[in-house]
Amino acid sequence: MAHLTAAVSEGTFVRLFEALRDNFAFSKADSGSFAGFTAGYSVAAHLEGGSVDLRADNTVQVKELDIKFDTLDLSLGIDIPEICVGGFCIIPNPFGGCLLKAPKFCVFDDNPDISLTLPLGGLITSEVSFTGSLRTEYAVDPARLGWMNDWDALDAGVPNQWHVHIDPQTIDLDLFDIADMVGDLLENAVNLVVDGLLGWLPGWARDLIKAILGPVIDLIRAILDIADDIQEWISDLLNVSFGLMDLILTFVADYFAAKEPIAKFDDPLQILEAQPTKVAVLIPVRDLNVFCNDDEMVLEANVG
Amino acid sequence: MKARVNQRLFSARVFDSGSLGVLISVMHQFHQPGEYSVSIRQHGREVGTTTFRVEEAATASQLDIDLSLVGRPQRDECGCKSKQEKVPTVSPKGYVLFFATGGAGGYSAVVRHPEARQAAFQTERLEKGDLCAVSLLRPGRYRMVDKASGAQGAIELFFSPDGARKLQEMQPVFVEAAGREFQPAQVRVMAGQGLVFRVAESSRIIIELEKAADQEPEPERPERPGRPGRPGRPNLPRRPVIRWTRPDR
Repeated sequence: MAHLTAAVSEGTFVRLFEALRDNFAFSKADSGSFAGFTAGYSVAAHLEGGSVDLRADNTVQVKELDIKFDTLDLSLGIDIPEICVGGFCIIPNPFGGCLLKAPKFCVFDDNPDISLTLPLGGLITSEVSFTGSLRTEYAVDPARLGWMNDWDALDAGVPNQWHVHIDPQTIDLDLFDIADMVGDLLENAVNLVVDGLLGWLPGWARDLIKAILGPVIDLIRAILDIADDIQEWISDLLNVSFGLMDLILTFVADYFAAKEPIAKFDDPLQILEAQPTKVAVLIPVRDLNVFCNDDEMVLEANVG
Repeated sequence: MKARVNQRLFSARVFDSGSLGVLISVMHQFHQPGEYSVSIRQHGREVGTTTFRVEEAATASQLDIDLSLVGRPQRDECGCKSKQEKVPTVSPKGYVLFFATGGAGGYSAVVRHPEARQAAFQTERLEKGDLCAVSLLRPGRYRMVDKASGAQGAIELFFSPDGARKLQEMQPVFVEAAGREFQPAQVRVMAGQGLVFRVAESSRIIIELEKAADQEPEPERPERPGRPGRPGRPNLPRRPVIRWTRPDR
């Protein structure tokens, strides 16, 4: 039988989890070249909501934890084709083709690059659910120096610690749910960029070039190989091409399983504070075990 | 890469077959085989030369000569002067096109055959069988004038977004420059659509923007009596008269 037994109620466990959840922060940026365009993203996310349930089978279930994207900027770099007038056929070849064509006069001296950024931050939602077991880990503070005894380490704020982690066994991440208005966002961004590119031109020239180019949004869609569903295209780009979903999954798993404990306490554990003439009373804790049931998280340990 | 915009496409108001700038080109057939030399001029001053060959065996039905590029020394990717390029050839049934995709305009060309004393062709003077093509962009009302014969006409250039999207499929509009008149004398084309003059007699075609569609209407001025335009002369806007008077002795 263990020398020490402590229990944390489910309500307290939930509050501990909420503190852990609120400290979660994920950020990442990456870019790559694809067929006909370049793309990059910059993401910063945190967690919100969700429910926690301690279960009788010694597992913890976390459900519908929202991944909130504070920033999710998707940048696209595209070469738009040359915009020219002229080039019409003056003498057609009766056997097909053209015998004499007027010269082409092009608006740009080369194919212009355009780059646009879609701020998807508020438009994408995703949620994560996982089931995990509780696990203990003994942690030695790397700042603790070799000559320090337990009292020195306590005074220096670098004592050894026992950590209790939620170790996710299975994680489910709902694919990005992208708001319909992303389509408008792309169209607006494209128009803004094209207006910027042609900004110095008089209105009639801009209208003419835009008309010659055709609906620019259709052109961009063709270059980017967006079929009908832009949401699906963005989701594929982020999830498949950049593997952002895997990155977030891995980060969430690492965060709970290894980075941030849900509970921690010092070893040796201080049971009496130091007095002016007496040192603090510390008791070493060993064989820490953690488990849960429907109502509480239970910690058991031996002393000595 | 930031592409530079060819601003002249949008600022040009006068298109002159004898003083080539952007959007206008002239085409001539050289029937006599041989190597021709081309003197490229800008505002009358020679800025470059080039050559081309007319060969019976040539299959090319068209040879493009961009006058704004010919004057410049050609360099390859390393920045070195490029090696002597092969002389381009064209069939005697084909056309040689003279145009300028850039530059300040004012280009002309004089083409000579080594066996002839006189120039085989001058862009400043179009002859029967030549073609002059133009793509006007700024919607509005244009005046077309044949400086050689005095013929004149009007072009209404309109813009329609739907039409502009189908610009590539649109056929050019043809106008005969037949002596003292254009046939038809009034044409209606869409911005960017081709307008081709078939030259029947010596001519120099000048197209000038008279009133842009996006221009504010000018307040009407009462017409000055007793100053009718002279017959046979294009009704060009009057310039201020500067008169010199001999001082009294």
